Amino acid sequence: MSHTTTAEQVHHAVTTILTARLPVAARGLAERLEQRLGANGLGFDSVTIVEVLLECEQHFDMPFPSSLFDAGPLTIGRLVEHATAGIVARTQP
Amino acid sequence: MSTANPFVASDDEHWFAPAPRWWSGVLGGFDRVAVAWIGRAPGARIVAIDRLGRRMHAAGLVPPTPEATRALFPDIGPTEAARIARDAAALRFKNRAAIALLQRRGLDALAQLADPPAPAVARLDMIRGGAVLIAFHLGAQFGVGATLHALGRRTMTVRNMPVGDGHERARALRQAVDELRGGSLVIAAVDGPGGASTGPMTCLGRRIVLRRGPFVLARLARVPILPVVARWTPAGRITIELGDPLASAMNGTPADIEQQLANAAGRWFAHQLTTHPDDLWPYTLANLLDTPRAAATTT
Repeated sequence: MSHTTTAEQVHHAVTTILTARLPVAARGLAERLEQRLGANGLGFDSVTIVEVLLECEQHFDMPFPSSLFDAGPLTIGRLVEHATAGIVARTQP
Repeated sequence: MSTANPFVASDDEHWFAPAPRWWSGVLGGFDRVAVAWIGRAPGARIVAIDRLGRRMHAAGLVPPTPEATRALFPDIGPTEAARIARDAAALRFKNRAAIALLQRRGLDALAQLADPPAPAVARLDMIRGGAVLIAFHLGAQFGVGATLHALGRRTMTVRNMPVGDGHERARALRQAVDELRGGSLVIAAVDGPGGASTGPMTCLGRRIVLRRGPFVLARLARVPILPVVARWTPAGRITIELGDPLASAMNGTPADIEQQLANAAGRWFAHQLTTHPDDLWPYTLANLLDTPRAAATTT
């Protein structure tokens, strides 16, 4: 599996997790990688952001630790990047 | 609606207005003197600070008024209302000294005042693995963490002091889930401002909300959630009391489960206020009085 394919699949899975928590009219926002999860983005509150992280952990079977917050407000792109890197690392011999 | 009242739901980031500089200076001066003075006889000095609070109240310099306490407890007489008001004023002074001690000398300094009773210790010993301990702004609230520290329990405290914006709150919640899964006790105030709110509930005839985060934590980490209160003893030491684990039917939607837990917490809060009105913070009183009255038919 190429990195590009993996990233696309991860993006799709992350988008599915996010859109389940968004009103129908706002679901298109979850496609954009630069979109923030919280204020000035998807508008999730702190509780929803943590629920998203835990659901991603379960879906991708890898930790989504609090260090993800270190680089500033969490974006969709950072979730996709983190999961993709984890999957690629797992599949490398 | 935007409000700094934690008992009122708010749909945006809301925070305290910054205190005037002169008031911050007064508090800073009090803190310095209190911490230096408490020194090596902390219990006796806390008793003296209690007396100072009562004198300041008698001089009409600090809230609350007996009328304010009667507005929350309409069934009490004027003598009892005056006593609760004096206790609340004294409590504020003692807690200010405790916060100063914590901030300037660290948790060990406050922990030397901890005097946990055997039943509370036994109940804590029965907790295997992680648990969420929820606290309200009652009694010697900062004594909860100090007491657990004195007992050598691994704890994480969230919301003891204001937790910044949504980003920081999300980070704190995420860390708390890990701590709970690792077997720590997480202490969380459910009546601090900022953050997501529960649905409304009735407490002492008022319509209030609590912070949703601690109830979410218990659900996500699948750990018990227990109410806890720390209070000052007449000797100026800190004791704690743990309530029974809050119960929910554990069926229904996640929001249903959280609301059931929150409602149970609200009932425990009302019980504490009516059985220990001397634990009432002037801050908590003012916030409760600034909530809408519940409809006459609700309980």
